[in-house]
Amino acid sequence: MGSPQSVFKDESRLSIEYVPSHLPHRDKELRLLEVFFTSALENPGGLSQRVLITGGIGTGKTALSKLFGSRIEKTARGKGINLRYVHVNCRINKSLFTVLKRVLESLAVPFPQRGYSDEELLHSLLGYFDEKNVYLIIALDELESLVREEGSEPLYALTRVQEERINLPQRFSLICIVRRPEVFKSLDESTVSTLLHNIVHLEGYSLPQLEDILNYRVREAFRENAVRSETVSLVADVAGARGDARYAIEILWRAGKYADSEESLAVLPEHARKAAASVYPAVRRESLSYLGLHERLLLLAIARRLKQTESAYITMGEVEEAYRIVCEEHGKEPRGHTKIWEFVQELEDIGVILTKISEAGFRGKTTLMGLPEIPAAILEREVTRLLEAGE
Amino acid sequence: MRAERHTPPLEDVLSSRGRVKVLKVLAEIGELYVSEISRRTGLNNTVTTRHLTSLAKIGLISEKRFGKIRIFQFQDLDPRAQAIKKLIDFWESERSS
Repeated sequence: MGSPQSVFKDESRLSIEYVPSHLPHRDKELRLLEVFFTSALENPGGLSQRVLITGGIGTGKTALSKLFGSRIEKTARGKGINLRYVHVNCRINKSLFTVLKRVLESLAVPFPQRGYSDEELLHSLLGYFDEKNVYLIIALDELESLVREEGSEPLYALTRVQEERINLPQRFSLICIVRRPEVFKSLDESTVSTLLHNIVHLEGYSLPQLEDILNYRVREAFRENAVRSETVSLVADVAGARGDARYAIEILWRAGKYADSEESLAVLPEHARKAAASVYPAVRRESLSYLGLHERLLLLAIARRLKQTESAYITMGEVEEAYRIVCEEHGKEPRGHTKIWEFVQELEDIGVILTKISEAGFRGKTTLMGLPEIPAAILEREVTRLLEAGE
Repeated sequence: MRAERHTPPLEDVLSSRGRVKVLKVLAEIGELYVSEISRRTGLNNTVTTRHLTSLAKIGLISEKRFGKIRIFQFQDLDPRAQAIKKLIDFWESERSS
């Protein structure tokens, strides 16, 4: 709850973790997911379902999957079926082992988390679920990260382990969440073929849809009449080009913060404009908060060097040198070249930096790094803040 | 009570601090693996396993294997286990109040 002067009624309703009980303009997709999982309720254990959710950033993939998960758990409970939904973010859990660990933790399975191979753990887990008669839907969010680290093995293992069991119920179903289905091109066909038959694709939101979403969140998070309708329209306009609801919601949240800091009773268009100027899509709370310590240090190094050199791009060599200095400053042991290279790819994946291969004018080939639409100074400030907060 | 169940005198069941600690942990958590029980009780693995085996023999807890993983479960359905759990719960709530 906010202080008496705050425009917010419940700020948490704008956080990334919050899953609203209703997702405007995603009813059709939610129904489709429910259709795919009908058999899980009618004939539990009969079939291991695999569904793919695709869509750009901020199109509601995570929220849709989580909302579906809580609904199906509830329906199953009503039918006396012990069906559980576990949401795993693969950007944080990048290996089958950590995915399984997450499953153990969220279902409070009393297994040791170390000392067993993935395969052993999986088999034991199935045995445990047999004993407790539990069915499980694992949602692998941002699956790209897991595929990049371990290829098709995790998906393969999760499906194979069940196929080997004859005359025993199928315990796991999978929801795979990716931005683009192309990520599966590199995987072997047998693993992904079923996935590609059950696709729920989420288009970017249109402007009126974004406005609906924002209005819904305004009702949930703000005091009555605290947000002018023109402010909502403005936020929708700003985020409209991307069809990205998360971006829109973050601007809305920051606009509320600006209103509070000025002790204004209402969120005005000017607050939204300030907020929009401060939220670069690339430095959203969310994308930066997932980064590991060394990825943050590397990003700080890139931002600083770009600021110092006042050039559009810097070379890998320069970045490594700057990174080592930043590491020394923070009293951390710098990572080696290969690891740094991985970090660079990770940062490019989430869109915080741009990379390209050098052309004429450089000796040999090197990777050049630059920033998309964000000033280096602002990025530096944001990353420093994050490092200091230790979030 | 089932005839095959062996019910030793209570002083034998609650014979040591370690035994009671093990029972407390399992009564609270329900089911766990050995090294976690040992971590929570502060007893070493051998001693923990010895207590677990005796308690399982009495039937207050049971051992389950899932592949290579071994866990111990508190026997909530056993009236003697229920009585012990009640005692533990009561005692702990008196201590914390």
